[in-house]
Amino acid sequence: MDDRRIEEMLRESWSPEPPNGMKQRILQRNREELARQRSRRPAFRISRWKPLLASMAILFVILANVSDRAAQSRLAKMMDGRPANSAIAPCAAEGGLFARHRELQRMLTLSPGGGNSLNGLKGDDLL
Amino acid sequence: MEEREAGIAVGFGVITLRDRAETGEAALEQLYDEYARALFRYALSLLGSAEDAEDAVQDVFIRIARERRRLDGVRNPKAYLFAAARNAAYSILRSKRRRNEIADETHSSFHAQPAAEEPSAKALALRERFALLPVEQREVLALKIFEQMTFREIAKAVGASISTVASRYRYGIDRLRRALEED
Repeated sequence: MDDRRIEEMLRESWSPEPPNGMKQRILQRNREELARQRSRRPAFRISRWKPLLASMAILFVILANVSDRAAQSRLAKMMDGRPANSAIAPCAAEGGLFARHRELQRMLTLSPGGGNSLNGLKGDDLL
Repeated sequence: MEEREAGIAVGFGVITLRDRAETGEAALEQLYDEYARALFRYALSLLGSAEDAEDAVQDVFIRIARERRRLDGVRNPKAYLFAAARNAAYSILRSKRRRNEIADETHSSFHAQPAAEEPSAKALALRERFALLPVEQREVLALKIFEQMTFREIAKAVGASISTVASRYRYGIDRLRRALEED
């Protein structure tokens, strides 16, 4: 007897069908399973990306803060270590001008015209 | 929303889990209509008891509905479903063995399952011999003979190599032939 004949005989002898109501029982069990899943599901679901994103955001804030502080301290160091006359010193510059102005005014007051004019010129015009 | 999440879309022979509004229980029903009979027959050939076979098939469908997201990558749904049925059936077999519940009822349950037509005496004897085969040979024969699966598909479903599956088939069919010749 060849293989094919044995296969055929076996097929003829046995053709079971699922029991009655199996489909309904499966669907019912599925509904119950879904209801159980829903009741177990938390209101606020945390996906695996959310903690990662949150920690990245916190890290970003910390890094920004650290970098800001570093920049500020660098700036403070630069300000504190600067020599007083190294930059433009308007008061000091103006100081010389005023001294000349005062000297001119003094000379004008000592002059015969009473210091009101010097050959038609006022003191300010000479500056 | 909940219904959408419960969806199992079945289309073009591939289980996809795109959350379509129309899927859900209807998709599970469609899957059932397509595969339940074959899965039940396979589980019955392993377990020999209609009740246990139904439990195994129920496990398969409930697991599919529960773990739908994992099914996204399933390329061969038939092999996947039979592998799932096999796992469920073996799990039942193991728990029965632990409780020493495996007995001759296996064979009587085989006999209780009706055939489409009244089988000949020879066919009945063959069915009896089939029930007595080792479970590894029985499952290969069941998948090959009743589900018309190729050795490659069977190998995927049972998690064995093609040559192992082929030799199990050979041993099984030879045993049946010898039994028929003896009778």
